[in-house]
Amino acid sequence: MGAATWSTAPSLRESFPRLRQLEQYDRGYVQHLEKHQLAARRFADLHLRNVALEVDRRTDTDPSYFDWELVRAGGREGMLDFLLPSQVGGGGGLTVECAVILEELCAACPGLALIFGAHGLGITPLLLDGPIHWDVMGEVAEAAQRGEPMLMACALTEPDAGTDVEDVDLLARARITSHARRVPGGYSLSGTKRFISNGGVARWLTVLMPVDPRRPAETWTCFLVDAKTKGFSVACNEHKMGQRACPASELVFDEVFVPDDRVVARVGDGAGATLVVLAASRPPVGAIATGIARGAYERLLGWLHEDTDAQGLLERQSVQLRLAGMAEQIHLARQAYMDAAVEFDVAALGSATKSPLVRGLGLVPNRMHRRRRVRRVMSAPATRDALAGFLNRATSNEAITRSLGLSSLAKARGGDVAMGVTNTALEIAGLTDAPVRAELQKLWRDAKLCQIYEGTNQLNRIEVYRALVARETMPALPPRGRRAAPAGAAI
Amino acid sequence: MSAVTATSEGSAERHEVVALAGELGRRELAPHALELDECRADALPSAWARVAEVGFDRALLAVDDGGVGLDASSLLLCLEEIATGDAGVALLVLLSNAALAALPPERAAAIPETERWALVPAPPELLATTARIAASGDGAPVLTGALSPALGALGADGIVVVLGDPKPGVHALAAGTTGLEIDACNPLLGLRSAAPARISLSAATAEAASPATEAHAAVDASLALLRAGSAAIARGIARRAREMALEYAESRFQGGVPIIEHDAVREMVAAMKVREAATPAPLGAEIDGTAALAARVAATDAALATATDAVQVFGGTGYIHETGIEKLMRDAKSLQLWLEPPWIAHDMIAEALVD
Repeated sequence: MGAATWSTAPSLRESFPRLRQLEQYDRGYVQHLEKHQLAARRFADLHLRNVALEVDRRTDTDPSYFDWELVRAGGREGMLDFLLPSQVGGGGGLTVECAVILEELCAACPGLALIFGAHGLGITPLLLDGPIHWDVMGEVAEAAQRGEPMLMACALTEPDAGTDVEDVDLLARARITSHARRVPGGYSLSGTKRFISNGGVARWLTVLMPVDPRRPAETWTCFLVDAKTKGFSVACNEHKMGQRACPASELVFDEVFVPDDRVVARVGDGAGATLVVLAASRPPVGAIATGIARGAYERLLGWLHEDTDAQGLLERQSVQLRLAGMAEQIHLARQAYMDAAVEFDVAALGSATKSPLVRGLGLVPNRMHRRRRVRRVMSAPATRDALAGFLNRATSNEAITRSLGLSSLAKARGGDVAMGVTNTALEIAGLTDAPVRAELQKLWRDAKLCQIYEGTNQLNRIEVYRALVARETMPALPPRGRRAAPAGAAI
Repeated sequence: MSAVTATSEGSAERHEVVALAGELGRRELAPHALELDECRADALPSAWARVAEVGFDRALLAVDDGGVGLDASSLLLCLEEIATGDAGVALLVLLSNAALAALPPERAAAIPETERWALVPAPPELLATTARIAASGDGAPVLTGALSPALGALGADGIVVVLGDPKPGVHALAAGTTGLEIDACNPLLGLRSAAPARISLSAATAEAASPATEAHAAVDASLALLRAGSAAIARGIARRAREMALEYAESRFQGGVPIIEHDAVREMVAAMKVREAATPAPLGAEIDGTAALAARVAATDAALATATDAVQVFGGTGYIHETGIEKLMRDAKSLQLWLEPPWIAHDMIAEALVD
């Protein structure tokens, strides 16, 4: 897509006026966020904006097309490691950084941006598992920095279970067909996962499956799977309506062996962990949607100002009112995702990130985490039980539930705003034959997915009700103490 | 499939014709909707052959002129049915009938049955970006300018250009006329079978299809037919989307029950039916300027809302091309933007009310 010469991209302080006040107390933090925003904007302008339409066209005719060169460039610019812990050489960013970056990337191209967003989603479950998988995260960080990226993905959705797998109550009655069977030394994963963003290009996947398919909610477990493992295959890449540059794949697991030390958290902790992951991932989805809306708004403004075909339209009150409405919606969606991101990073994570224990572990050289003996200790049941206890001390189910409520609100509102703003932008531009029409049409197609993924907007609003209206407390944290192995977990 | 026969309002024949159109939509077009959307080489010729075989392409012409003598209201009901199969083909049927109806009967009768003509609207109320044609010359009109995108014009054997003020007129140009070029242009989101074209006119001599004294009335009649017709097509898109959404909602399980049992889905499906009831097809006397325009805005807005919700009911599956539901959303959006987007239509309606 052509770069708009009529520049309207807002600064960080224009985007979030509250930061003007915050920087009076913590100037460094605001500068830190600004650095991320500007880096993402620079990367988007240099690498994404100009190829967005072409990549979209190519993936329309060939859904397996994937632009690795862009991913390599993104790795060099820090777009693949900002979420990885600083202890393993990553940027140490959290939800706020992720959201700010994704808004910038999506204003240029949501499809290409999703590659980086889905990579972050693949990483997120590992962040909740302390240092246990720091060896893999270290590899991912190093690979990105040397220009040979290892992408990650999170495999949750199944052919017969989409929204179900994102809600504990629905999960209990969902039609789950995957199964992680206990075998000596680990688990054997079988089944199919569908609509997995980055699924066909990821090297590492965080995969959720039940150990006992008859009791999916109680035995839902997260596994870290190396895509090179025997039995793993990519059945197809879906032909999507939009956000095409990031492949959505159908993945087949045919007796894929996962060793015990690649179980993420404990067996049976997966349903609660999913809630935490969603609390963390939905604000960035709100940011993706905000970026799409902003991209449409900025392109429309550029056309209205620069194209002679649009002459006179800006003087029409009907157009002014619609532009004002778009600006209003974008602003509110942005504040909603920032509120939710801050809530997660500060309130939901609680003292976890500031714990002396976590900081102390950071002093251990990364290479130590790759030693077999260290890994054995790290992944021992006692360590995992200790980690569950640590999380319970650092935060609470109440805090995570409230965070999930705000995250779901930001996601649902953002999705509707993206759809509404792109709809309006197309209405103002009509069927102009100017290049802007193709750009707006693409963003309109891209926008629809924001109302669907990370749980449909309907499910998200049910969670807003439960968390913020009914003030329920959802069981997100792993139970304290020794967790009894669910049936099927023992050999 | 038998041929269309002449009908009158309320007649039993109308029911038969509409049923025939329904059969064409459901059995002949719907199974090929994705191929039409993908613009596969043989998809449109094959679909159009079926349309022509039944006679829907020249349904408004009198039987003596080689048509089937259908009244406008019946045609609209048929368009709705055909649109349940493919909205782009329904639009081509509308453009073909509007083009032939705008020509003098003897001229329309002279067009071979194998040819497809399309009406190309270029009234001044469209965004300036789409209308660049001006007629000049005292004798035969000479047209110069450009227009894009002209839906359905690509591959047409002739076009009938409808010009508004300051020099209104309806002008016919056969493909191949000196000075007329019809090229492919940027595709639209949907209505892909009615492929858009960029029309370039360089002192192209046209046939005046209407006498100068009747130019205003001819232009108004053509545009009203297009607007009423697009309302009918929008209804067809909405109905198909509702039917597909309901079928899916009854068969897809979530939380142990079909998703139609969830209030969120029930409400969406119910709202689709409510919108359908609130946007009846404009029939008979309602096919005039303002009423047709208002009906078009209401029906295309409703179709877009319904198709968008239908994709939502399908969830991730709906976002996949092969499901066929996202096509309806793209078709609905393109139809909403065609002719005049809603905000311009609102302005025109307000102006008409004030006048």
